[in-house]
Amino acid sequence: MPRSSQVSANYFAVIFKKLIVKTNLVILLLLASVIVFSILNPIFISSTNISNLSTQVVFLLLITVGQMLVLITGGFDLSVGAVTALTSITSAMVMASVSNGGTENVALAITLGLLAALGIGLICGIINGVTVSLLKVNPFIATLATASIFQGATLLLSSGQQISGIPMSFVIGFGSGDVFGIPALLIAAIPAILIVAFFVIFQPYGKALYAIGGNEKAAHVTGIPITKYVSLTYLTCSVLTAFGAWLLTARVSAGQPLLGSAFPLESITAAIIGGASLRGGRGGIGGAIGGAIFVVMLSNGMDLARLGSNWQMVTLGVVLIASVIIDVKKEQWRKQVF
Amino acid sequence: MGDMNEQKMGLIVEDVSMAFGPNQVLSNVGLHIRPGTVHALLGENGAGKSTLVNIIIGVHKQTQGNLYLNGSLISNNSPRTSRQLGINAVLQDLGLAPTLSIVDNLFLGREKTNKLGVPQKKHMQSLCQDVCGKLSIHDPVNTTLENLSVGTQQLVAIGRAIMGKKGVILFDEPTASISRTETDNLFKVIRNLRDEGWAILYITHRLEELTEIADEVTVLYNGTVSLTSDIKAVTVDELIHAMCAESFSDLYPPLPQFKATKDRPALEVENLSTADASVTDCSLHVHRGEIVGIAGLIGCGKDRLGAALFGSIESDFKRFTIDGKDVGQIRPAAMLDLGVSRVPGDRHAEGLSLIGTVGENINMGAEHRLNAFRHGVVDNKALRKNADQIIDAMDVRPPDKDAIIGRLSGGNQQKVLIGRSIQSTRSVLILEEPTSGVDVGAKEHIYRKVLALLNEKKVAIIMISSDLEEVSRLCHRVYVMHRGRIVSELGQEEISSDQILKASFGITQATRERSESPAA
Repeated sequence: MPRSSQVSANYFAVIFKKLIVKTNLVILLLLASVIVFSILNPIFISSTNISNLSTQVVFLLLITVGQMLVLITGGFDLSVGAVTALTSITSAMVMASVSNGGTENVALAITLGLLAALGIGLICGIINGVTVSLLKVNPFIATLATASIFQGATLLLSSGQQISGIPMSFVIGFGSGDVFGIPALLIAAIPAILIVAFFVIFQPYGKALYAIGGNEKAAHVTGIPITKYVSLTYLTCSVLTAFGAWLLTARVSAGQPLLGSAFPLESITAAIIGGASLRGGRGGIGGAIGGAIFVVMLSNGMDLARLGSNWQMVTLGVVLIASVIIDVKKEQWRKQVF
Repeated sequence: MGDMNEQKMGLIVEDVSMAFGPNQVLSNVGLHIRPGTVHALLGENGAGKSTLVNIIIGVHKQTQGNLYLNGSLISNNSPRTSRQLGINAVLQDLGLAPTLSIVDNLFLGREKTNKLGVPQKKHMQSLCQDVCGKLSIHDPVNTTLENLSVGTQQLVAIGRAIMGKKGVILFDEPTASISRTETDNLFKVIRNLRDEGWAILYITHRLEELTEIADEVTVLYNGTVSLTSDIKAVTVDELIHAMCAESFSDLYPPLPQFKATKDRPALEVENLSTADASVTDCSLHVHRGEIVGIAGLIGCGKDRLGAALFGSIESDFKRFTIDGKDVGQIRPAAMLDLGVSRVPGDRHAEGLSLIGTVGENINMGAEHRLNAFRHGVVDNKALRKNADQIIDAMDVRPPDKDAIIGRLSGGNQQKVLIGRSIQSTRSVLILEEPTSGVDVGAKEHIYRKVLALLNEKKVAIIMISSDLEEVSRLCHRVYVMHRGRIVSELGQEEISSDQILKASFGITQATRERSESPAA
């Protein structure tokens, strides 16, 4: 006869496991960090900080959504940092020259700057897409290489210097402006994300991504155009990145040749915390959003708690490993208790 | 020393059952492999042979029952424990390192070193020479493994096995990928090992090998032992019956008549050769309402032919038509648009996304066959309904479209794959190994559904299969392939398992005789 204390201990263990299996990890992490950081410093949940957070999160958000799509197909995009830098320099150069150092033709300059940014995103995306899907180079290696190429191009174009002279209205309007209290950056980013989400959820393209990541040969035998869709995915990632880079340029008020160097690591981390698997076939837009918010919240919250960026790096790494382990445990427990 | 009763020597499997979740794979299996005997384990795909092997070598733990070696209970079995006890296995996956040499592989993990830990190369090489001589491996001991033929690599695996403590060796379908000459040598080696006192378990689904190599035989059918006997005391008919048992005749639905008409063939191809030369100069045709089989031994290229006909691999041809219309280049998307669909032979490698749900797999590529679009937007509700419909039609268990398909049994996975393809088929269905690794209940359902497709949509079916019974019972005509070419075409009256087998072998025999006779 089992002792009653053992029985109740078992009982609680089963309930605990069932709870963990049913919970979405990202939501759990977000809730936990909100609670922890607001205790460490109540300013965390003040409206000023929330506004701060929503401006900070925009850049990583756009890039993580793009990275998530690439990860779902079973690939990687390590060039997002270099694309950011190249876009920043190029669009800053365009805006500075058309506006003659920030003084004339401001509206035209900003528009052309945006088009230049999207153009760079398009070109980089095509290069990545062709290399991975047509030349069939392993995505890790391909984007590692293109990162180097794009970064080299950036340094060549800018001679390593930052590009100033971009219109102030761009910097203030986008960088720190708001419309009815909502940061302009967020208002600019949301439509982009909604468009991508529409295609993923409501178009066969989205479902095809999971098929390609789950088993490329199976996707092939059901007629899914793999080359087309994979190229499109790298294109989307680069264009989203470029758009984010253009917005980021406003924030840092100049074209910066070393902008975005942390993006590859941060975006992949955010995507994995959001549910992506390195082998592909898993993840989603919601997870990308949650993961990006968490990564930025972590840095913001730790700043307010006076824990420096070095501690933040350590914490991020620990959370990444922990989330992968918890994911594996969840699978094991699911088989046990359900 | 203890009770070393003759009766208890060797490996005894006692009342072993194995269930994976709701799936009962083995029930009350008993087996006795005696030293100095070759005990054959016979059974169709899915009967449970591999699971039993995995239990014996310690990869799985049986849900019920015991294993005894020479009278002692084996507790806490694991791959390491079983090897230490003297239980060795030569499996399909040889477990060797392809980039290392013969001698390195032989001593992998067990290098002979002196007291300081320095490897004794000369010593290992000479031991290796002895083993190679014994097994008739003629290649130099420093040859890299991947440069050897499959048959020789297998001998290296055997060499590794016999270097340990003398006990039990299990062979899992060893002749599947080796030539006739290599098979002869393998059998010689096995007989020698038997005469030395090893207890040998030989797993196969090829009846013809038994008379050559086995002393005793046990037949597994659907996870249970249906027959155990001395090889001399049993007939081939009894063995066949034990392998397929009761629903022998019920398994195959009646094949509807096919009357040839003047209509153009649903699919016709002339002189097709694949880019990798696995298929050469094949021509075939199939009409609507007809099931045509493609049979042949392993390596004959029939699987590659199926892939080429759908465009999954590149090929060259003189002519290729679907319903009489010329096709310039064969590509999967184009084939699907023409109503051709393909069920690949390896469902895990090419057919299903195992981490996806049942619903996702059913609806993969649905845009080619369903009108699940409203105003240019995917109708998720229609997709879910479609998934439920196919789950119901194919009797998929559990009937849950949100279940991860990797957790379903092989038979249910196959039902999903076939259900999806049936939906896509409007002209031709290319069906490869439709019931490989599928349990009897699912097999029966699949056959019924495939024939229903034939009757309802009047399509053509190309059935490529290694299962002779299946091909001979369900095809109107059979093409037989050998080494990449079609060497024989059997009409309805000529079709039977042995005719097909003969045709697969017959040409080899003729070519061998021709090549051995003095030059004309």
